[in-house]
Amino acid sequence: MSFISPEFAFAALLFLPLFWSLHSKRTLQLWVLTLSSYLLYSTWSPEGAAILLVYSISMWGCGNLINSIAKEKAWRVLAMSVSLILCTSILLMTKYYDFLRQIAIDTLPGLGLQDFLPLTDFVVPAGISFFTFQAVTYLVWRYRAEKAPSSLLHAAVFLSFWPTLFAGPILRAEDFFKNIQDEEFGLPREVPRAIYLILLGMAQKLVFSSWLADTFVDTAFRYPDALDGLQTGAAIWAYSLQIFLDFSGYSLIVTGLALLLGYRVPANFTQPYLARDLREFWRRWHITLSSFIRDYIYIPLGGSKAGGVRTQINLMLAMLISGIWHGANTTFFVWGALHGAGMLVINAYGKLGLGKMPRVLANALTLLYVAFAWVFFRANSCDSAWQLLQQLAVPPSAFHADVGLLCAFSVVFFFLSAQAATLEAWATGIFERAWGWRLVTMICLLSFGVVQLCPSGIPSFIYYRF
Amino acid sequence: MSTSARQTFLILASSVCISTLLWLDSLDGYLNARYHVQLTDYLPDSLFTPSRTLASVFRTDDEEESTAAAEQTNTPPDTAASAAPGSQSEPLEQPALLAAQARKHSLGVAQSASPASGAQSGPVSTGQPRILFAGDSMMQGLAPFVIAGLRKTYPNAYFSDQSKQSTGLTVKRYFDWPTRIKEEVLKQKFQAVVIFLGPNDPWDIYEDGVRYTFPSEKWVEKYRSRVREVLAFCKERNVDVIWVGLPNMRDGRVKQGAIVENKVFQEEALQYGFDYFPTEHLVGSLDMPFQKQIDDPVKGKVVVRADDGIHFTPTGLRLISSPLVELMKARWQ
Repeated sequence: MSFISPEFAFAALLFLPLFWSLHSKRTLQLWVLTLSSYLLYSTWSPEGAAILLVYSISMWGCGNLINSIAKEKAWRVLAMSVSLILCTSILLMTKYYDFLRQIAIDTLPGLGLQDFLPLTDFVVPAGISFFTFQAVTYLVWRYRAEKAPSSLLHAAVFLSFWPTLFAGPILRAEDFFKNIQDEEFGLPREVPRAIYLILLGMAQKLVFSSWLADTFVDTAFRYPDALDGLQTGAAIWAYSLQIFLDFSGYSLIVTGLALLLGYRVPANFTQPYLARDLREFWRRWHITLSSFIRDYIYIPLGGSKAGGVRTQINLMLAMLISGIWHGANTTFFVWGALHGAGMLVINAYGKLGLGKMPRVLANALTLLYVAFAWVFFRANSCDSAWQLLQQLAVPPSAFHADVGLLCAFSVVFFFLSAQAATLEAWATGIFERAWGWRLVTMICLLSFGVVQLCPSGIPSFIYYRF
Repeated sequence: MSTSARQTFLILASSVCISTLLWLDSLDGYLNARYHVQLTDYLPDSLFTPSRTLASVFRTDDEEESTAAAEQTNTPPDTAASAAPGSQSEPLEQPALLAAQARKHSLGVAQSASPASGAQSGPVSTGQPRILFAGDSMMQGLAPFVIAGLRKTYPNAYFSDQSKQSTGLTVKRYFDWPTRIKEEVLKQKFQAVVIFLGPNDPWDIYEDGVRYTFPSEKWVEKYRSRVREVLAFCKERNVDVIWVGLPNMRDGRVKQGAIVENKVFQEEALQYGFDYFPTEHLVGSLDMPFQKQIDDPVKGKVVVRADDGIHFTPTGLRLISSPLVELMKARWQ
């Protein structure tokens, strides 16, 4: 059941009053929240929900084990290491095993060796990449915190929290438990802002992202040799916009829904296409993933304190992990490598002391590089990505009115990106003042417009795949 | 519940209820396509008036044009029946707004710059065939492979991949393939149509207030009539058809549907003198337990099916597309 489906709207109308009415009974409220998460997950995959339940119990057990060995540090470290291996093994097995096996099949016979990996039939649970990373934060938090809530309910509600279960933002255990202890948790919070975020997210996903996909992107990536250079360039740029509007739209909807539960999820995007270099881009794009990789991978590897060359290697490793986290495909590996290489170039540029580029130029170069890297992210294979990039050299066969429309859309997009905070404050203020029947009228009119302009059916979010 | 929670609930509930009323007709179409239930069976017709009125007010020129074209191109039942021996007549279909809306958003891929206007439909010429690819998400996977294969032999051909996920022949109200194929053949003068669909179809069919329960004999006859609608039209217009059969499926209902549908596809294609292209021997037979992988003489076990037990991996798509391309080339030599 997608967050943008009619079924979800009706289910939310049943769930929310029940949830709010239990505000004074916190434990019962958390049980109801957990149950609702599992019910929602079951509408996607009952097997996935069963796996999540077993996984949550395992992580809770691991957390208890780590906590119970309080005195012997060496044993605690061992327990922590074993728990982390267990925690990530399900992700590695379900998501990457077939990929590794395929590589073995393709390469071993050429080396005169026999493929030894058996064929398996794993079901990849929806959202596994997200809840695995959350489980890592849970275990680390249990390791570090002296007085961490240790009940199974706490582990279960954290790992299955439905607003973020399927595609993030990736929550951290310490923030989550601090948030749910807040008196305001369990009651609707900042409702006008929540409504604005949900409507904006729906418009981004249903109207603009779908339009870009239908008009420019899907055809180009399915038939990489079919279009001329101008159309191909437009498709690549359109995909850059599409993935932002899609994923940030999803994050906005999730933020709005979480606010209705009284929970503040961390920001996942802060206008990444206004970044002046790749470092800034990663501080603005999928923030919860990049900060997770920084804090749980890059810094433990030594971060920037490990010396010049080692720092660059750590950086490249972090970006490669970020790439391959998205899926078992060489395209994601290349995408991560491109971002890693870009970061290394920026570091080298900084070391040379060449001074800052003009903002517009730096922003344009960053955008071009990010858009170029997205080709590998979106393509089914590196060959297909390369084929598409080669099409850029094909002279335009005709004038394409759609490309002009995309240019106009891009201008409006950048203008609104720069004004996003002002726009949010303005719209939230209007909703606040219109509280009551006027607000109902506004919601109906705006959602009517969104549904009127969206394609038929319920499109899937890009990040549901990861 | 606190006052603010109560007020929030009232605002959200009112908004959802009013929006539902404004979109009730579309919601009915959505529920029909997704869950195969019909709200019109349970709710008074007057409740649908606001949504139908709004739909007619906001109908775009494109949709009106499409509806008009569909009305013109709908093959009358008698014509369809007359083209096939032993076929039965069926009532004239009226495409719904949702079908027209879905049409607006489908993909079209022109692989060559040759203009559609002025071209004549007829037997496939060896020089530059004009081929329409129709179907659901399975065709979305297959078409790029087939088109890439055909382009090596027909560099100037015109291919149009109009496949659309979640479509089939059961829920005409959501997407009406027979009407769509007729429209496109007339408009773009296609010489051949390749069709690959079916996993979305093993559900009850609702038509004119009658429910045809899957997989009853009446359901099969109704489904058959929709296949015939396409084939009879193509026969009349001298347009070649290749109907791609379904391979093994994991889910019981989809598998049962594939068995029933394949029988219909094969019998009707042969009846009309068209090609039925089976895929069972390539990626999994329907009389065997479902398996994602097959034995490859060189690579050992290779995965040919996706995790959902319906779609294909690139390896699986290559296994289907290669002989399909060969069949098409041999047929049009």
